[in-house]
Amino acid sequence: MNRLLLAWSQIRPQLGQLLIAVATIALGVALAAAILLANASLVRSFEESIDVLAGRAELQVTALAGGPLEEGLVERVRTVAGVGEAAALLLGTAYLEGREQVSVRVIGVDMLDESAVRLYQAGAQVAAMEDPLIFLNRPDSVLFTRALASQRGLEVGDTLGVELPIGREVWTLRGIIDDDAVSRAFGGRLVVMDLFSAQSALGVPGAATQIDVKVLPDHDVTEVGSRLRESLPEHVAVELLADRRAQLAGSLTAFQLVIDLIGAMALLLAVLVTANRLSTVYQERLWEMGVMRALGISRFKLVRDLLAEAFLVSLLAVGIGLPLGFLFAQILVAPVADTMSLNFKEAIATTWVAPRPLPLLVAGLAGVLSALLAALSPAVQAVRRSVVSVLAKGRRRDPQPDSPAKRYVRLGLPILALAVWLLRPFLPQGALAAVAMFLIAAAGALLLTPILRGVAGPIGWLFGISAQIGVEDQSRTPSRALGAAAVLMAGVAIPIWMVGVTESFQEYVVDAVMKIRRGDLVVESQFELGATGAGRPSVSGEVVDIIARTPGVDAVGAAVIAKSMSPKMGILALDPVRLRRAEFGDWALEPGALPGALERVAAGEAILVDTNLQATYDLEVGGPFRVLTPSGAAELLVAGVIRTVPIIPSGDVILSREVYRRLWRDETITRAFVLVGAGHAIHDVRGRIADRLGDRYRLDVKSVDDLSEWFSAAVWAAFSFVRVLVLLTLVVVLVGCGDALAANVLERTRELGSMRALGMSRRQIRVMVLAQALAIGLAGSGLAILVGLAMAVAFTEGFTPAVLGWELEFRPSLGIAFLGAALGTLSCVLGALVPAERAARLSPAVALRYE
Amino acid sequence: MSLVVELENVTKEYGSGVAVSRSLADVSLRVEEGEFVSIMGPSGCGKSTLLNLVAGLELPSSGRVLVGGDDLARMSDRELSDLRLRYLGFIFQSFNLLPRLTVEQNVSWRLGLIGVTGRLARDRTAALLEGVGVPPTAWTRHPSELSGGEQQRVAAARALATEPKLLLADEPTGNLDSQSGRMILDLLRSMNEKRNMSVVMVTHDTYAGTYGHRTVRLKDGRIVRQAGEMAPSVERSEEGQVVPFRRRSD
Ligand SMILES: Nc1ncnc2c1ncn2[C@@H]1O[C@H](COP(=O)(O)OP(=O)(O)O)[C@@H](O)[C@H]1O
Ligand SMILES: [Mg+2]
Repeated sequence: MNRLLLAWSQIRPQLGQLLIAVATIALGVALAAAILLANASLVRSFEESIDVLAGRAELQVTALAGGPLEEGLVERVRTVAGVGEAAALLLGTAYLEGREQVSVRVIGVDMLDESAVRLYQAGAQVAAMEDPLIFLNRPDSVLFTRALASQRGLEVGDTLGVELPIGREVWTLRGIIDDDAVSRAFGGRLVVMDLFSAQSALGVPGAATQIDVKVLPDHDVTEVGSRLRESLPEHVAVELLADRRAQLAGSLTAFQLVIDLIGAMALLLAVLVTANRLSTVYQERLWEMGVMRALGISRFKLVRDLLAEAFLVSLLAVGIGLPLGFLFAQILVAPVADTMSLNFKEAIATTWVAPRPLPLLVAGLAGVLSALLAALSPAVQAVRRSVVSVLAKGRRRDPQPDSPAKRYVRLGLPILALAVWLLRPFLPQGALAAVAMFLIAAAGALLLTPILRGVAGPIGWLFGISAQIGVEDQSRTPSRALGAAAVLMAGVAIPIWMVGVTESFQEYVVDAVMKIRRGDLVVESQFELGATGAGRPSVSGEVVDIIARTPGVDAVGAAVIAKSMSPKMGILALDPVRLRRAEFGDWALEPGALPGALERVAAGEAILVDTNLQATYDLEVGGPFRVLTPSGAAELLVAGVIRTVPIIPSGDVILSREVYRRLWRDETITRAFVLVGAGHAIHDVRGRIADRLGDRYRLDVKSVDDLSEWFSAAVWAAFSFVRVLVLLTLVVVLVGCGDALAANVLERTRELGSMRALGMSRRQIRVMVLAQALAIGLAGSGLAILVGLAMAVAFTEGFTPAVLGWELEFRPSLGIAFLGAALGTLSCVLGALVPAERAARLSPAVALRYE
Repeated sequence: MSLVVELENVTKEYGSGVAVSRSLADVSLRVEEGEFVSIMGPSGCGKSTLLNLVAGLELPSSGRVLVGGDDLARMSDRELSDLRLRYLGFIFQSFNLLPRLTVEQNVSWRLGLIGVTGRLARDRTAALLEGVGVPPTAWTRHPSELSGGEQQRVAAARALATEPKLLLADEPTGNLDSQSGRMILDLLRSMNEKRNMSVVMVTHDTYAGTYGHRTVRLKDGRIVRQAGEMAPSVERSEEGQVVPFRRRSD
């Protein structure tokens, strides 16, 4: 305690100088806390939404192809030995009318079924319910979550308009579900109806989208699962929910890891800035420390005292950072939720992040550790100088030759990083990526010195002799410059890395999805049916004929999107015209496809698979792929491989709709693309199609461009938090560079004075400092491009398969990299303006007397 | 003969109000072309202040400072810098070499400022370093690897690089042992004699004081005595022509 008091009396007079250190650590802590808090609360709400939908079930029966299955199957499920409870559930979407349309999940539960009540009651504490009999007797009855009701300002007994697959209807709110978990799941946008009412509202009489099963106490879940599989028809799938939860937990962990990594990077940046600042502060006390050493205080004790000071600084920073982080979390949670929703195809929304102790504790500890880490190296360096030299030379620093060890590390680490980099294909991805990223960053830091020297020549040549002197001088004891350049490198590499990854993601996803979905117009239902992105409800195949006969329509190409459970795969079934006419899409196959592959697929003789499916099942072009269909097992010939974003992570097959119709016995379609004939306005044709389909089919007709834009915008919005972080890092770069250069100027006051006495003008001094900043900027940013891009590649190759479930192709966006580097360099030069001016304004006479 | 430096009733004060302190009080001084003037006095008497005023590093509180015939108060920072670069050389007590540049670079950066670069700069630097007696083996080293005497010789070479008319030296021997000190003094004298370069040297070492043609004694900011051999034409130079600075530089 005594020691802390002493430390406090030491830093109090220097508090102003420590402001930057306190602020950056506080910012780092805030960011880390925000990320951890937002993450924790999102994970909770995510898990809750799974639980809410599955209740206490252990097994789930769904349609093999996705979409509806017969409700009556429940009875058959119940007859299987070992089944305890079984209940049917129907999930769909509806749009609440109002100032802005809000999509809600509709859940249909059989309220009269005791089994259903036992399975789901945990998730649904119905509080205010009018007469249950009225609820059941009126098909317009709905229950809202408390969150949704208050959001819409509705009370029990109120009515509201709603868009449903069967048309516009009016719902009456008959009760409120007063359950926190349910309210948090899906952000409370959940509406519960009786199964029968839901079936008619969603236009699927007699259907359910899942049957949840709870096994009897002393029965093995897996066994009951296989028994179910055997006794149910071919077109249904039986899944262990534990498996699904584990799978989701896995991808969640990976996703969290990514966000945590961003938080760690922010803290690293804070460490760098703080280390620079502390080294300046210690520098000013060198003489004082020399005296203390001369008076018999050991190096160890001095370092310990300096660390005690750093500890106080960190306490201050954490005290500011945690409340700030709590506020940040409220802002951060929405974009992160969007990103997660996009990744997991599940709507997640959280409006309020609770202050959980664990994340706050972790962020606080990280802050304290960061400050201590930042203090360690400057403290050791400050006390390492010999007492004599400190007392004789004051705070001047003379160049010291590198120790051999340092030289080996400087040479070895980049080589090691390169080796790991080259060995990538042969090593396990995730862990390796982490190691590679670390090595790349470390190697980058070590390459700074030579690069700093390298840019001296060109800068001197470009900006004249005073610039050259400054840069030469700086490249000799680059500790300050290195500090600044390291901040810059980290600060610019992080945006390049993050923006690089998100840009790749956006471009790749939008590109890959839209590449094979072209045309002028697209027709699809506006409603979704089933759980977790099961897709839009199918539309009657007649629609295709209606559209084809509409004047102005040149061609229609319909598609079915479905899922199959054995083997696990997504199905994209297309009208042959979609494969034959280039206007419908670009079917660039991976090399090695069979000759005439597309035509063979169009003719129904073969299929295409995507790269993910090929990897999942180790498929060969020209070889067979065995699938289980409602019409029995079938062997399909793989004619080629295409790179695209799959419907489900394990991958897709792409086949002719004829084949799908035959094997899966499904006449419906999911979507139809339309080519408008020459001489017809797209807008007119769109109106005509909408008129003809009318209210009967509840379909949306929109232009493909709109679809593509909507899609891009969704992805763009999902990554908005990345842009906020990028902006923050650039501000930190500006402050960090300016700070390091200011320290540089202070340290060289006397030298600057003598240069002025020997004929350097103010302008030349200014140019000199700015040239130093430019050198730091160029060296730091140049390396940042390399490090950032390399980290992005390591990241996409190592982490995204785990996060997304499918492989993402990294598209190095050099434009972004150079923009980031330019912004970083600019920040550095801007940050140097004040120190440069201060150096130029120094009175030479005063500077010469400066000790 | 002509005037290189002329101080007319120069007073220099620091601070303001009650805290004002007077470093120089009503000092007048003339230095002729080719003259070697020693300025002596106890610590804190205003010697460095006087040199700083001559170099235009500070402006007087009152009075005029003329160097090469130009009033420093009327010059812009650029003109002052140019004056210091081409007309003046400065040697400091604590050398003030740039620690991160090599010995060669410490000399050649000033050559760079006057537009001498490349091979020519290398040759000139070599000649200068040889001239002040720094052995070639030391040229690529850093100042911290040299002895004090060697460092001061490098500083002298740096000051002489632009062939100044006037050399200002602020206690150049203050940090040196007597032998190295004598070498520096000899160097200054030979520059003065061979190149007819004026020298104003501040010292509080009596031995060093004997090197000048003339010694000016300062006490509490005032000139108390001028002694020693006058330069041959001091009397005649009342309205002396000056060695103009600007004509050379333009
Ligand atoms: N920038 C300044 N501010 C206040 N006082 C100053 C400043 N520079 C010099 N002085 C004072 O002016 C006096 C003369 O200083 P200086 O010329 O350095 O003396 P010397 O070189 O003869 O030892 C001293 O008392 C010193 O404290
Ligand atoms: Mg002095």
